[in-house]
Amino acid sequence: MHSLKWVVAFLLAGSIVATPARGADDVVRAQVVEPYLELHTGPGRGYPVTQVIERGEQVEILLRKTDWFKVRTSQGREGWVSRKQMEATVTEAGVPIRLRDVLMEDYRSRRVEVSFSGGLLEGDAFMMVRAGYRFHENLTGEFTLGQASGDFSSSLLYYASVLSDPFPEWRLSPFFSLGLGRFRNTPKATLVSATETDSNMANVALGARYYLTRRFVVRGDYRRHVVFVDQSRINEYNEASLGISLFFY
Amino acid sequence: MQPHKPTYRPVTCAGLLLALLLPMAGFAQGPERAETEQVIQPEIDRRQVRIPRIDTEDFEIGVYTGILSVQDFGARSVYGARLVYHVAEDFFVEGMYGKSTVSDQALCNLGLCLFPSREEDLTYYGLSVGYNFLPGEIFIGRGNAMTSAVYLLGGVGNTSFLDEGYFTINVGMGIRVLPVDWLALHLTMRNHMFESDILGKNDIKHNFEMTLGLSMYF
Repeated sequence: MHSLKWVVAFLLAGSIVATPARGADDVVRAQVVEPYLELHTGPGRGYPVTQVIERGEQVEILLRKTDWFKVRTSQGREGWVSRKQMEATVTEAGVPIRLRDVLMEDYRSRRVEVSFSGGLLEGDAFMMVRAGYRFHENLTGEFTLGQASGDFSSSLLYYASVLSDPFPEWRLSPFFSLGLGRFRNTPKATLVSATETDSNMANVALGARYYLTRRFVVRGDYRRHVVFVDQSRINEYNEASLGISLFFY
Repeated sequence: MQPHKPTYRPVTCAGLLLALLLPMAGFAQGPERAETEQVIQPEIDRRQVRIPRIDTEDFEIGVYTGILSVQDFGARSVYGARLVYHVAEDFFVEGMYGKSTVSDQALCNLGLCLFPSREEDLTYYGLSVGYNFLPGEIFIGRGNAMTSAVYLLGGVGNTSFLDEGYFTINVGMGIRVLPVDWLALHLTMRNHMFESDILGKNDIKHNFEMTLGLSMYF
């Protein structure tokens, strides 16, 4: 019953969001300059070509999905055109159409970054999700939530950190970071004598980002966590991870 | 793991903090140098290149519900949410988060009650890569065709119940049907695999899940 409620709520929300999405006044038109333009029935290379638009005719670009564009002809017929063919069209003004893609420049002016990483925390499988906001060319504030599952215990940790890139314009750019947060380690129930840890921690990391393509960045981190267990005891853990980031500008 | 001498720590911290702020000093001088005076005034107007604003729908957000069968602990209803980014025509990445329950009722009937209560919460999350293995179309009647795809999934994540997390590998497949361009229906089958010694012996547990989902492109 609980799940059904969710589905209904989602359907309602979906119909509200989807209705005003199609604005009629901001139409993008393209003119065919190649001998013809092929219209597929779906956004993929295997979908059959049912219509061909000849040179000189105009199409209206409705939407884009990955490298496919949905267009409408002047007769009102719709179909999907590949990016390669779309790039050979011109705008109403006669200039070649420029299909905007996420580029290296956008990466340099990124604001928000979300990443998923996997690695090892003292030999245990470790996974993290991070969200970062770049408030200065060289500095990013990040929040990380991670979970490690090992043979003897599982750990949950979260921390806020400041990450500094000294060379933000490089494609492969090193960074280092300092963070503060909390570390919780729960031993497996099958182990009798172990105790739970729930303490503050600090960490320092060295790593690098590599801009891959579009919205993707590969990132590797080496981090040393210092957990302040109590007045007399400090535990240190090493973490090595590799992940992928998506950025928005 | 060893206790550490705390004597040099403040010095190290101060050094790191200084190094962290160092690039800011260089940046502060940057914009002033860039604002040099323009010597030659151009006589022609700059041509306006308007980049068309095309509605790009590469993200998909949705919810799902179905059945999750946890090995040794029964099959229960599951519900969750997923976010998908379509990287290219053939590939996508997917993040998911789901909730279900586990029960030791069957074991308890035999006198082996393991859990504090008969029903405990289970949550899982994962990040997977998908491959659109069989793209195609589905026909309803004479005049309706919907684009569809059979996809393969594989990824990693975590499953937690009773305060314990298990590193989980998931593999699966699904069918996606799009009645309209912005809406998709999913039927997904997945196996969440993790290693556990909860019943005494360390074993890989197979947990099958079948869900129906609804999602929206944006």
